Amino acid sequence: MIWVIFTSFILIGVFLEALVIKIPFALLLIILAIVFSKKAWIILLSIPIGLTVDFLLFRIIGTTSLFFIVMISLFLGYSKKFEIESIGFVIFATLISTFFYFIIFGADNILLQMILSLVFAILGFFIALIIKEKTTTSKPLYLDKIP
Amino acid sequence: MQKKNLIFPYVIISLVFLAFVLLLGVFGWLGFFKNSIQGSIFSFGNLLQSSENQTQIDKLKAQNAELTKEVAQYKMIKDDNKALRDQFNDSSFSPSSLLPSRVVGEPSVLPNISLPEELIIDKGRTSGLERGDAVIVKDNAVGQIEEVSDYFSKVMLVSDKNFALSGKDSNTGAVGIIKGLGNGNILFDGVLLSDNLKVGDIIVSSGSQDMLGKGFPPNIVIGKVSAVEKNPSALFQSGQVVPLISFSKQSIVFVLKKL
Repeated sequence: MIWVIFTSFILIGVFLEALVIKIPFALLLIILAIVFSKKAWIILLSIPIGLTVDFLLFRIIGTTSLFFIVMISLFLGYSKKFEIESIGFVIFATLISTFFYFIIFGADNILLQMILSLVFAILGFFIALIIKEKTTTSKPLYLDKIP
Repeated sequence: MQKKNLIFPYVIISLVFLAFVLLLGVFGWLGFFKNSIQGSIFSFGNLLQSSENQTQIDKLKAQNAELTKEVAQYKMIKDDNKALRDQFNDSSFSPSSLLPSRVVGEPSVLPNISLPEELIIDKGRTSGLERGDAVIVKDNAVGQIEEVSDYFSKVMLVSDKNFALSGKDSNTGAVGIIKGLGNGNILFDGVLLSDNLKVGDIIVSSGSQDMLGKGFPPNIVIGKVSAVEKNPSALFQSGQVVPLISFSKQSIVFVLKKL
């Protein structure tokens, strides 16, 4: 269920990024996916997303995917040592990744776009939290400790 | 047993896959996917924007029409301004004795086929115009007021068949009669055979104003002699005169008035 919602968001995000507003929605959604799932196969998922963004924004094929792979690898590496499912990490990851994203792919008013991206990321984080709470079965914490 | 979340293999697989995709791109085999994705997303976007675009197009069309009208008005004002500036800079008459009037009609003219014989101007009796007033542009004779209504007047051009005026050669002082021949032609006739009349001489009015100031003052340019007809057995000689201005291209003319 959660992956259907995520895929829908990704599609809408890519559409918005390509046609409506130059905010890296695909990147933000990938960050949120890492934060909540911490699965390494998101790296694989980022390739078709990156290619689609490249096609729609007329970029050199593969550049966005490569950027996604690098950023996701870094964040996943970070997640091995520290807890990343927090608003602090989302802010940090969004600022770092959008900064490099805008530097690499070129954008005007980088600061303003970074702030806008941050707003969307924080909003996305809270929406994802709500969705996660609604979709996961309520299981008492103590059950996890039973071998 | 807890599953390990290994990053490195995924990175390697991804990079290999990406390299493969790039290779496909190099050989141009990604065209189908590229066109499909671009086509579907952009056409969906166009669909959403089409109604908004149509409104925008209509708005821009209306704005364009308005701007075109403004440009035409601006051009007219600019031309008027130039005509007035030229007149008042070059004319030997004081601005207070010249009444600017806009040409609003050229009756019975077939563009590029026949030349005007009359002009209608937008000043009439209410502006103090009277029959017989001289009409000029930059010291060049245009014609004479023939008929006057309250707000409009008809100007008989110097080339009109009914136009006649006494004139002289500005170089030699030879006097004669300036007659309109129609269709833009003017004849300087009745010049004594003993007088000297040459091609290129400028013919000017010799002055025909009455006590009320109506008519042409002296030295208003009628035109330049383009051909001389001199017959030794005739009493007089005559010359074809070409006006120095084009009557059909004037948008503003000046009525000579003692205001």
